[in-house]
Amino acid sequence: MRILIANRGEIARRVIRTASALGHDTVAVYADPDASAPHVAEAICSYRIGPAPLAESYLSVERLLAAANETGSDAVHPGYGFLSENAPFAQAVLDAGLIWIGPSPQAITAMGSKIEARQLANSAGVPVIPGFSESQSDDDLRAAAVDIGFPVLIKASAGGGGKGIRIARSDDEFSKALSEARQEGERSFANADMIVERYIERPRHVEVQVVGDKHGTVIDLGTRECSVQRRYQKLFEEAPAPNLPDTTRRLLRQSAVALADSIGYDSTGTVEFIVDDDDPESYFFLEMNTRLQVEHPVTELVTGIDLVELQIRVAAGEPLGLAQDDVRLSGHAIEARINAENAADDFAPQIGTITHLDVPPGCRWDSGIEVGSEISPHYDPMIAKLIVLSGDRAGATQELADALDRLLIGGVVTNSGFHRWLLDRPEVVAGRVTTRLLDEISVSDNSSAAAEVAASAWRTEAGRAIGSPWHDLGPAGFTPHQHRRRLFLRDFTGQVHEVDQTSTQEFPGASHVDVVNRRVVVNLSGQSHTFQVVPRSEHWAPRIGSGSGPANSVVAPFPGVVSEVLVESGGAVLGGDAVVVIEAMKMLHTLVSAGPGTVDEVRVSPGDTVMTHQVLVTFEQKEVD
Amino acid sequence: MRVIDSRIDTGSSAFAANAAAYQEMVAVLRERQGWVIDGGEGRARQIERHHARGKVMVRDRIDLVTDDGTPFLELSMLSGWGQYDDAAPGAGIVTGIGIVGGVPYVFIANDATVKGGSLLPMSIKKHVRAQDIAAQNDLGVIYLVDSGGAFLPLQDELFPDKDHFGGSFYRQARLSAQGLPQLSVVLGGCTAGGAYVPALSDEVIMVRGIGRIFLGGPPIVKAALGEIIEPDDLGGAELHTRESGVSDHMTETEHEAYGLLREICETTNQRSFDHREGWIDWAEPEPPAYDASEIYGIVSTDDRIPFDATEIIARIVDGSRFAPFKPSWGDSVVCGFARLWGHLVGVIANNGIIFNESALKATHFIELCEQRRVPLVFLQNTSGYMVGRDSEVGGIAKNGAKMVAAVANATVPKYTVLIGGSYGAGNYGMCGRGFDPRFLFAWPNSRIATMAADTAETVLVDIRIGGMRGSETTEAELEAIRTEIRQQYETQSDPYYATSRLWDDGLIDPVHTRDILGLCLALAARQDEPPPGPGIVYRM
Repeated sequence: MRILIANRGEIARRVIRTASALGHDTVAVYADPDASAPHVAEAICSYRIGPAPLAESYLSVERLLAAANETGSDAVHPGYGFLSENAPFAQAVLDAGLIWIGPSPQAITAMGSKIEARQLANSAGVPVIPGFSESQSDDDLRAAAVDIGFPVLIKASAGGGGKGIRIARSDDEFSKALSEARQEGERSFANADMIVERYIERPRHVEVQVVGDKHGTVIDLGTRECSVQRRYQKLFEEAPAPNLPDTTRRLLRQSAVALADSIGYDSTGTVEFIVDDDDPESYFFLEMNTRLQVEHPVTELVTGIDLVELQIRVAAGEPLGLAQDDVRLSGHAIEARINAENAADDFAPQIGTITHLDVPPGCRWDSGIEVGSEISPHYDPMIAKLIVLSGDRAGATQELADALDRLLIGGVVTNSGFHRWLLDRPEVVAGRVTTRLLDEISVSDNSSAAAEVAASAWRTEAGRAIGSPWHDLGPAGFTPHQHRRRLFLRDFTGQVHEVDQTSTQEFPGASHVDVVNRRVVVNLSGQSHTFQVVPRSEHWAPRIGSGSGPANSVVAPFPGVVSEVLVESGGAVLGGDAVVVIEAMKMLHTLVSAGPGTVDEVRVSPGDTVMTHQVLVTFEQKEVD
Repeated sequence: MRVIDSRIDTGSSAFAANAAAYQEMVAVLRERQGWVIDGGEGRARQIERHHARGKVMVRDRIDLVTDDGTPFLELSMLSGWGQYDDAAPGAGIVTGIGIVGGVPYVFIANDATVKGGSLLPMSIKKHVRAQDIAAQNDLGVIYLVDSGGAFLPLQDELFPDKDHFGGSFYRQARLSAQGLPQLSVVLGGCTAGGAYVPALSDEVIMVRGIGRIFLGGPPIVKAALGEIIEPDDLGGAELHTRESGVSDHMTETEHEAYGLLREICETTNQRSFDHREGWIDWAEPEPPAYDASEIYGIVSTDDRIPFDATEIIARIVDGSRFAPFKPSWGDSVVCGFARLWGHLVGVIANNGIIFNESALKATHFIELCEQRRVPLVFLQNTSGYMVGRDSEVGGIAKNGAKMVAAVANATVPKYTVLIGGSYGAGNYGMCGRGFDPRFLFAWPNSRIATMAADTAETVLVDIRIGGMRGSETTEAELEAIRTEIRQQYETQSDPYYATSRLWDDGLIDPVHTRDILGLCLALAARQDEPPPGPGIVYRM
């Protein structure tokens, strides 16, 4: 069988791995920025589907079908994200006479609408959270909110990924929250329908992996806990879910199977629940994801079952070949999603080139990156998943901590240090996390400490390469004079750290020194920091030339696409006024004016791709008295 | 090469007593070095004033220029010790070798917190010596100039003679012609003769507000022309960089100047270190098998008790490995090949008196190293050539002369360390200062003189008595003469007396011997192989 993988990055590689092992041919598709991505190299053949914009590549049903046709593919695996839960795409694949490696379009449609899914859950006897969506009039929704009792959650019916969600804590807040959620829903999903439901103060996110075949068998593969979330994006996922009463666990699994069974579910899927931490006996159906989940590896590790293999087999019409009693859970697995984002800067997405990669041995590393990979602003910031398995939960958290301490990613900032920090939170240690854990956090920037570590690593390694006592001896100590030489290290933000020789310190973490390119990567508290060693001649010598670009301007802080321009030439702005909105890594960022002034020149328009430090808007220079 | 089998009993009480005494000596050395850095009467006030003007201490300046994580080999740190009323730590000047952008440079930097950076006779001698080291080792020179000029009360001791002030400018011009960069940063006054240090440099940086250059300072201008003028208007950085062109670059701060200096050093096209390309045979360095600090316990507190040179070699050379030459003949001189920081060297070390056979063996070995182009390391611990009828009949005069001549004519780099006594003609044959070793260092237990104080006492008292023939000499008078002679010899053979006068390039802690020699050898390895002199190996 020839399988086309309609996806990119780590999930494309993941599918290729199993498909190849099963003896199938694999076809990779790619948009231009991915032309040299690892998934392209690993497939038997590859096909260019278009330029960077998603609508013209990974989200284009037409082009993907053309790719399947031209490569002679027999089946399509959608991965996750992109078109994985797009029923028309699934239908189009089937209509083209190909095998769709996923659930039936009907199942996707049924679970794709939150409203319909609730009704199905209700019918299957699965508890649903008290809510209302029967009418979409603002007044009816508001009346329902009063009925349910505040606080309430307002969420887009077609939503996901944290978009189109608002909390209203009182009647007063309701209208604003509703309108914001509607706007976001409209923008993200072209659907402004909303659900109002009870808001649980201490919710846990627990889900159940299910799998069914075309012969009427549906079983579950145990629970996962995904409560460690930031802005509704999962960060850690573990299997099995810890600290659940046995009855709750049993009921969750039974409910999941009952729901899947009720719709004749015939692939891998996940039924998500909210468990109230204040009352763990009570749980509510949240939604069902009709695809392979990002976090499927933790289930694979504790069950020993390859979920992609099951997907392919059942899609081909084979029976599951597995009864519920065959499923044995052993050990505890945790996955950490490695995202290119800076936790110390409000999780701003990061771009760059991977210059160095050390993955600790003994872990599962599902990644879409290699040394030389470009992290571009076009796609999701998740670049890899680090997954560990141990006998019990304590062992698994320890192993993950050790792995994060040794994981070294040079060239781009990731959230791995944040994960390492999280692992030490008492709630995480105890396995009592709610999805609210990270609502109020601030992560300190430890780049100064990291600079000292980097300086120490540089001092140790840089001299060694030359092989003369003049370098190997270090500063020596022939006289009592204390050498106070300085090393300058520029971090990714451009900040230059000055490190005195006297502060040289020993450190236990991983490090990599690239003497030729004067680059140092160190891992401090799980965070890989990449520094450039700045020569003193460059740092101290007076600047050549004058000026440093127009002071009175708004510049792009990172690469992205202009989504909105809110000012025009000659317009007046006050300090803090929104000037331009740019979209990067699927997030909107509003750039504001630094002070009051008059717009001189608008240099960009919506749709323009902009680079870091590009001047977007300038303001008239005021005469200085 | 075979590992030396040490016979030292490190558990013995003698060893412990020696070690304790030596550690005391090392403590004194470091204390005195510390005094040079920031000690001395009234120095604190000078340093405070220096800082108040926003100026950086001289050694910190060198650190701001030299590469991170590299050593600085400071030379003759204790020059001037015991001279100039003990008021001139380091003779007000710092010299040494440091690395800039991977390339070694000689630094000559004035210490303005010592007599305003004025140049004393020993300052000039140190300055000139550093330039000679630059010439011999193909090193560029970085001058960090912050000097009030010649110390006029002693002008007769520093101005007129061959190697005096003029000699430093002669050398600077010649070094530049040799293709060795001469770079100056002006960080203070450069008056009169001092003006020629930057003026003779290839490139000059002046720091605004502190750097000044003038042939005649404001007092002289006033005396000569009656003009009253502010120093910066007469020779400030602004004037010299924008108007006269005496200076090439101007910076606002010292830090800027050092950044700029490092940039200039990136453009000098000088060789860095690459042992793979070097002419001296090189192997991966290996630390000695024995701890260097055991030297403390080996060297006796009583300098009449000898110690075995082989035991010292075992604690200096790579892996304690040694290929001895003629080990069973003339064994009061130990000769053989070894490696120092990877570099192949010929080692010649004394076990006390040099006899006829020892002198011939040493001569043979010097010739061998000369033929094989192997650098020579001399470890001096000798009371001199043997006297007495047997020795004279054996031809000690001509045999000693062979050794002296061989050393004098050896063209391979030579390095000398005084590890004990350096007496009489033994000093010559073992490559004393007069024989132009590339570097000469001394341990704090070393002694240097024509003869030991005991011998001098006997010899000189006899001569005095001979001179006073006929007149009555009381025992008390004799005792007074004895005491006077003994005191003179003890004072003058003291290593601090020697190092104060630049008879060496510095006193070093024995544990640093291998590292320092390694640094020196690495400098030679980066040069072209020196052309050999005429000579073949004679069997003698």
